[in-house]
Amino acid sequence: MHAAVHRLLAGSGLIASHEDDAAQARVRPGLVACEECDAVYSRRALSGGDVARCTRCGAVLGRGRWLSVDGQLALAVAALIVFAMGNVADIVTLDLRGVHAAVTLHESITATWTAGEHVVALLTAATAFAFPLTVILLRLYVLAPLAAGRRARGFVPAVRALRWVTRWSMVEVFMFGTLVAIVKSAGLATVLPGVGIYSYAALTLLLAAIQSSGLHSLWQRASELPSWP
Amino acid sequence: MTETTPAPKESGSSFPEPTVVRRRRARLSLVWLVPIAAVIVGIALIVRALMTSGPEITITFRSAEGLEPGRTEVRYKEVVVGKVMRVALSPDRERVLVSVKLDKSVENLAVEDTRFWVVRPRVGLAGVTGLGTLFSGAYIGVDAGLSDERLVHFNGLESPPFVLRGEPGRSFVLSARDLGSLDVGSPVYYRRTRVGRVVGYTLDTARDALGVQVLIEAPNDKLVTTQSRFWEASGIDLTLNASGFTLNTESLASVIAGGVAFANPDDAAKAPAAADGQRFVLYGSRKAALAPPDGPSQRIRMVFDQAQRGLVVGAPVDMLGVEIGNVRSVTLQHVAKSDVFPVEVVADIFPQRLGGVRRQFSVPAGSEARADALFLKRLVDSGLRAQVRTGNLLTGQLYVALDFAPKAAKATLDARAEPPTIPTIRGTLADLQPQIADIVARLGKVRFDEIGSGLQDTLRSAGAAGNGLQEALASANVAIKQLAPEAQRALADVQKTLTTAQATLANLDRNVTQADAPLQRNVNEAVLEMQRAARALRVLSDYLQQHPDALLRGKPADADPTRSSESGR
Amino acid sequence: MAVTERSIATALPTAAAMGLLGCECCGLVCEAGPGALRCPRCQFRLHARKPDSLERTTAYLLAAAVLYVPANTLPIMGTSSVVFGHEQHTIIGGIVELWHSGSWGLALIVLVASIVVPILKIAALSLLAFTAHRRSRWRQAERASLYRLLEAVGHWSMLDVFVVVLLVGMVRFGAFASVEPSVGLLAFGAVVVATMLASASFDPRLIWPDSTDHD
Repeated sequence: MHAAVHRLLAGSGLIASHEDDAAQARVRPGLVACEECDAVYSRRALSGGDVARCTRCGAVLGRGRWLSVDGQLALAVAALIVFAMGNVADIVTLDLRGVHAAVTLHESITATWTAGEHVVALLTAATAFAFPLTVILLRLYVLAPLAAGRRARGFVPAVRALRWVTRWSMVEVFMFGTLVAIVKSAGLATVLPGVGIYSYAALTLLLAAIQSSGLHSLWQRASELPSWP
Repeated sequence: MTETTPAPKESGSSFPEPTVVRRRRARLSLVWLVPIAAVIVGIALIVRALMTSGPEITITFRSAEGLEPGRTEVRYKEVVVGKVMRVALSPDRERVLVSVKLDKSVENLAVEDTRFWVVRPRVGLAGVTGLGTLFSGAYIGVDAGLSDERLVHFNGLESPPFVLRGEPGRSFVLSARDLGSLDVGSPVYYRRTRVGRVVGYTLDTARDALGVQVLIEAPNDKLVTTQSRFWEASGIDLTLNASGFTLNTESLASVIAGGVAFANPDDAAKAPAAADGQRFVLYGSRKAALAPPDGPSQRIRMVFDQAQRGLVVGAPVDMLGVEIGNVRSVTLQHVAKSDVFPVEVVADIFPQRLGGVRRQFSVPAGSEARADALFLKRLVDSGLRAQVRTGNLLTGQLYVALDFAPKAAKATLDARAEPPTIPTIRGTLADLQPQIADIVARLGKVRFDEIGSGLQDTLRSAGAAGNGLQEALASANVAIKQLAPEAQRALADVQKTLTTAQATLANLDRNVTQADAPLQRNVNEAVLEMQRAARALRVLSDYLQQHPDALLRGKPADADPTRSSESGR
Repeated sequence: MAVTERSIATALPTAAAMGLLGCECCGLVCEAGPGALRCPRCQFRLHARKPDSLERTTAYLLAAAVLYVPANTLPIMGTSSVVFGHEQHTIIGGIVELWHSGSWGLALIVLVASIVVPILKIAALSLLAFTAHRRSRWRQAERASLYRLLEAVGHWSMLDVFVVVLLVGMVRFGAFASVEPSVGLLAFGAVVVATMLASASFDPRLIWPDSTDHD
């Protein structure tokens, strides 16, 4: 039992596995393999807005960072604050002749849950709330020590989780969904946009800016640190 | 920022270089403005939320129906002043604890005598209220209290209070015999206008009295004076009695919901306005309410020697045309001595209703009996008698009339008796019988048969004359008929002649009278000719007179008749 | 390192052919070997190709295709109002309503996101999976671009789910107007999730087959 748990945790990278210590693979840090067509290239330095593309399939091999780690950290902090605002404040208020109905994301999800669609409520909660929050928190967790020149303790599992969670965080789709919902209900009542919708719009932009640097730069930066094992 | 990695020496093979697309890079240090801005905005929002949030209070209700945490609002005069935060059961599970967060602007609402209730759609006598809650969900209504003592825990009302504090108007208490068809919300009318409503009623078990509270809304509350009279105006006031048939309603609403009406008697125009909480009597009808004060009642007794079928308890007693009381009892008596069954009628009368007549009566000094009894004695001495008359031929209802009877037998009233007995005379029906007999007798004396035969002769001759007239008319008719076509022909001829004459006249007109008519012209010319001829003749005659031989010799060649005219004339 | 110039590659070497393994997680390239089970940097399992890629992709695609029918035929949202009556709305019905109400742009966007994209994803991934299975070399660059497009656009199909969830929360006017989600919404959400999983489990390197590829 203990061994199975150990294997699971090692598989996710949370803890180091003993079997790997024995035989380390030889690393070729000067090379980069295209994720989409497996072609191999030599690494090149990228600066600013440079984008390195695979000549065969056109996939992006890497981007130059136009945003330093400090910048990313700043944006991540802003994203966290804006995320809190967007979830606490009302997204939008419907005004039907003096009768107000205000909604936050949390209320919408609860209403969907109580209406019987549990799975959909969970799905929305995950993709519009939990995963974006996780993205922001993980980024903060990773970037803050990085900006100070250190490596976070759970760096490896954090970035691995980040890779997966970023794919499933759909803030921009949610943002657009609020716009469509507003248009659909505009015929019924007067729509008053609340702080929430502006916050989510700002969050969309911030997350896009943060994620534009990609994850490889984090690995690069971290591997440059002297404390890398 | 560029990054470099020392490239290990590859043995021989060189790997292809990826394509690189250059692009400008952005500034860095300004980026920190973004989170700073976010922090500022966030703090501003938090501060604003804190500033506008007021006290949190707990209200207990019996049920939380319609109350949603985080959504249900608290409204005061239709303005949102708070929101329900949490709903929980009390520890003993008897009541529901509702946590409400009030706005800071209304934190002085959380005082001791403020009342809270839940507004839900409600159907009541006043109509359907709270329909808006079907859209918006229920909300909590507030009636602000005036106290200064702050309170955190309130007991909510289960239904809206009848009177809101501060609702302008005055409330009064009406003491009534029974509630009738009144209920909370029944309207109060003044001159058939709704000016208020019944807000409650209390049964005072100690005094066995019923008090109905009414609220008269401002500004009509000034209409209520200390002399105002209130009466129950519920439904339809329908009476069918000796006075006839009357139908009286205040309004359809009062027919359905009951109602109270009030009015100020005419002689109380200058009465001061009634104070809040003054007690009034609720009369049963408008008539009862507006009647002048009755004064003390006087019981009287009458004995009639004939059966009075149709005289019921409550029948009016009329004195000299004024309704002064009601019959209290009608009982059959038996006088064994003469074996007759008279009817004893006891009635209560209010002599004050006679007004000035009664007031002018002064009690003679030194008598022990009551003033009213002495008053009656005075009237009886003058010939006042009691009589039963028909009030309504249709229903046969009778009433008692106290009236002066000039032919009445002498009688008097014992003023000391209790109750005094008023002497009676026969009713009009009894009097009617001899009158009818008299008429019948007179009718019998009329010689109808003679009248009848005389009438017949007249009719016969009239008939003959009529016949003759008829014949004459018939022959005249025939003659006219004969005449008619000839007359018509003659008329036609006349018409023709007239037409011709008309044409002739026109012709004449054209030819003669007009200026350029040829006839006129010819006549003119003829006249001229004649004139010339006449002149010539005159000349000739003159010449002949002077030269008569000219006839024989003729005219000398050089002779000028005109010259000779000089000598002629 | 210096700036490079564009180089024209005709037959580029693949990592697998050269005995190299690129870490999918952190991009580090290692030499394949007996000890190269995990990436030394990020501990991610190293594979030449994603394991069971085609099987998993096909499985998810089948699920998505099966669920697509109820997702579009069953209503996803129901509105109830004492004034307007009770109505059930399907995705297509919602698009038609947007069109009629004048919001052509939004109608088009929802049409693309909720109808076109899932179908395209299923079709495109089926094509990719099929050609990869056949190790076809037909139009490889285009197929690679197609895959990138699918990855970029795939999650936008969740738009309708968010719209309904938001409307459920927004329109809460009691008897006058209220919205509730319907069964079709779950099916639709499942379709989106399935296509996203299918796209994630497809290994685009299979578009570029070489001798080392094995199924």
